[in-house]
Amino acid sequence: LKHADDQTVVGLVALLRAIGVSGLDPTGFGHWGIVAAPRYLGRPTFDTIFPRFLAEGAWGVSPYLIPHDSLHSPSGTFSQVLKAHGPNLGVGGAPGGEAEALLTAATWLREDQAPGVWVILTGWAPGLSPDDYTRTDACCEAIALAVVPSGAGSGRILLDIAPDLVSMSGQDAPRDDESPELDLLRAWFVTPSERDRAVRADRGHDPAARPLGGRAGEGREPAEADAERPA
Amino acid sequence: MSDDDVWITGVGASTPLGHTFDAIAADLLAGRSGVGRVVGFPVAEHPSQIAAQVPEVPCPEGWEPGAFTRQPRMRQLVLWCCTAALRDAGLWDRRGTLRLALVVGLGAEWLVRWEAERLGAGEPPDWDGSEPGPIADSVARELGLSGPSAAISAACASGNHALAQARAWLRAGWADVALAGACDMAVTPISLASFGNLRALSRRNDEPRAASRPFDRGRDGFVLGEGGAMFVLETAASARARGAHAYASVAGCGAGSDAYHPVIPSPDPGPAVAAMRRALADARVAPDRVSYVNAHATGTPVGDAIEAKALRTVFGDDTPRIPVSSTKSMTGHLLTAAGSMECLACLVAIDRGALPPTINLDDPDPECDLAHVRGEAIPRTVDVALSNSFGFGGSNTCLVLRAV
Repeated sequence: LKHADDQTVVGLVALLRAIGVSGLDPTGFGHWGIVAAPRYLGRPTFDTIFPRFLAEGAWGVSPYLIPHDSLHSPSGTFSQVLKAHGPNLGVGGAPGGEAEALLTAATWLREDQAPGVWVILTGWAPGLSPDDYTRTDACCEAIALAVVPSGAGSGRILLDIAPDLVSMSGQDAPRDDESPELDLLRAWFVTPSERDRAVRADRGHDPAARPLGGRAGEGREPAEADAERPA
Repeated sequence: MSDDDVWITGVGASTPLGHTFDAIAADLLAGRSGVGRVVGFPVAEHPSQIAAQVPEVPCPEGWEPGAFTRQPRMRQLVLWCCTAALRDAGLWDRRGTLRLALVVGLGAEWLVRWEAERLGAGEPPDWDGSEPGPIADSVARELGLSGPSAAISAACASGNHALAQARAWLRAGWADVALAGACDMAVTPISLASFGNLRALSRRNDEPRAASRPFDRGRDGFVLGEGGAMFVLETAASARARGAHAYASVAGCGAGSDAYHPVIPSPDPGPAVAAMRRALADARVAPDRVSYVNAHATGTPVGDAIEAKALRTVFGDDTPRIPVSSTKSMTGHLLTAAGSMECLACLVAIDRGALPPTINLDDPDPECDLAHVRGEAIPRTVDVALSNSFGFGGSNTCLVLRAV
């Protein structure tokens, strides 16, 4: 995770926490699918790399940019961690992608592509602006949802995907055999303070070495490309 | 034909080999390379200085050329491909009366956009003068599409995922017609440098047309490409009812993950084999009935050999009888759009009754022992074509197309 975007790291924490509280067998996701919907993934990394490109030319560009900061990157990482051999897909990429992610999960379940799908939604709140990375109130947040076909889970239905719209409900939703319903088993929201500790621990940082805060742009690896620069 | 059949009835593309089905088919079957030295920005300090580019995306009929060319190239590309596909399907004038869905693979939308902004190209307003938003939303709004839409990415496997998702939406009745495919415009300074520093690209800079050499013993990496293809999908019943020309049936889709590494393919071919077998089972096609395989084979030393091993596992004793080619030898690797480019190559094979070759395959690697279509196209009736697309993030996808 050294080169992963903050959204990938935070999404992973949410995923692991969700598994922990869901009661699902953590070794039982071998055929599950993974859908990740980040928002503007890689923007902080890009804004670190671009000045290096201007100063140093092509050799200043990290080889990890594409593998770790593209729309596909978080879902690929999550599948690797879970040893999940079902399909994995990045969806959306901007605000609004969450509905597309849920629609994708519903599609896979309907087509029997996977017995269940983890949907991981991530983003910064408030959204990062390249002109204002010094702001101290931006937090990276994530939600992990375990989604299974109706009838497969014992949980209360919190979310119903209808053919023409995606709606979320806090109430028990009526079952309609004509629509592809989903059981939302658990959602886990990562709080900012948990995120700070998680990011640092996963990156090998000493949590005590810096004050808590983990603000935008902090914790980036400053010279990623150097170690891998071809001779 | 079953009620579940979904057909491809329209094609729109802009590729290093051309912008129409006929032009692309002609080049693919003639074995012409679209690779050259990169134009548009200086590359003298880049480790790889070659690519298969799309110098200019055609302006669709009805758009004002000046306004069109001021749009970001990625948005131009998606719009051209969607427009051309709808016109090819004969649905352009009916698009407002249909629930028309959009599933488009766009892996590098935001990285490319930020790079253009920082390089001073800026981001013009959207078509209607509003702040620029996601391309899928913008194009859906511009074309008046009223069905569901999604932008997706499984890296180089995106195009096959898009077709699978669109097919599922049609089967579910969530849309009447769907536009599905993938586009990428990743030949940019940052992208070329990042892939180059990853040691993924060929450095055969002095021989651009000979640089992309899948399955060849002398391969040294892939050649970056750009472009895209979008397809109109509809149910067989819908297509037959309106007498539409069908390129092929989307007969089978399979997808899975290595769960191994963000970049390096699993040395165990099992996950890739599983995706292929899933697609064949979905299509109800026995392996020995496959007429042609368009391999993912990018020209990297590791990936080609693993795919060859996977193909041999799937086809067993039939391997020597089933022709395989990698059209990336001519088009370069279109990244997010690779699967769609290669779906298009399969449609060409079905439509023209000829198998596009792998060019530059002068010295086949014994580790890639397959029934290669070397150098020149082979006349052959194609009933069933299989197209593999594997991507970063460990994504494995396989598409089975059947002649209609």
